Amino acid sequence: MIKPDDLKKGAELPAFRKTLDRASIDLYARASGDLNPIHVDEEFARQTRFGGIIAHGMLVLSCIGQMLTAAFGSAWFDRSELYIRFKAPARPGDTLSANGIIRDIRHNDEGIEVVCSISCRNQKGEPVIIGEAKVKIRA
Amino acid sequence: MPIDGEPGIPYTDLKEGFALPTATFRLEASAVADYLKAVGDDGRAYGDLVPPLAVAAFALKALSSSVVMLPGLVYTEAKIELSGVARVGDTIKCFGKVSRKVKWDDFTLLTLAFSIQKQSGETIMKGGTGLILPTSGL
Repeated sequence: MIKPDDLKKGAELPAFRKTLDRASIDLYARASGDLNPIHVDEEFARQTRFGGIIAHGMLVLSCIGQMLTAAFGSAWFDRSELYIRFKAPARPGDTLSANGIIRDIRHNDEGIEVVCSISCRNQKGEPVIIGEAKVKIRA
Repeated sequence: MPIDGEPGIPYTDLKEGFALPTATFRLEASAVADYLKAVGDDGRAYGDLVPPLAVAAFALKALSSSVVMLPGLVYTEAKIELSGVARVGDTIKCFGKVSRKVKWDDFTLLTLAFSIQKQSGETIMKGGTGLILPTSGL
């Protein structure tokens, strides 16, 4: 977790990396109940504009979740906000890197609010998810 | 979620303001464990707390289970506001509404607003998600 003294504008959150494979996508499909064929049916997915299987958006978003947990512990589970846009699909074989940079720190009576730019990029550096997280840490 | 051919509300019936049937489910330890395994998280940091993105994933599945969506839909964006925590064993109640629907030639853009309560009636999460449904060609 980030130490309080390291909470500064411009500070980077510890990155979280994950390589996707078909097995993890299939596991997520079963765990989440999302059996959309674009994620599990190679023949169907090949006929779409994506040209093949893509990972669930929520599976990719979980990388950002794990990055926030590594940075803030379970404190971010409560009184936080996430706003993200899915910019590109993630595919089997992609290595994803979830990153965050502290943009602002706001103090109030309840504690502090840490505002971060967040992103998840593939091995080519292409953004798969971009957005913002606001994590409120109690005093 | 039901794919074309299965019982459910056709997505074509969804209009702005349409309230999805309320969905209720229990956060079972096995389901949470399966989710954590699937995302590659050992869960050691959580105790019996359930990561919010797991709750969101289960909730979206539960809400969309009453709607026949076309295969090939993808998410475009998501906004999530967290106001409480969920634990293994909690009963979750999900509310959803179509907040926006825009049709183009080849696809439909849907925005769903949702809120999630646990058994105490406390709202622990609310937000929205955008979906693109291909309606002709893929």
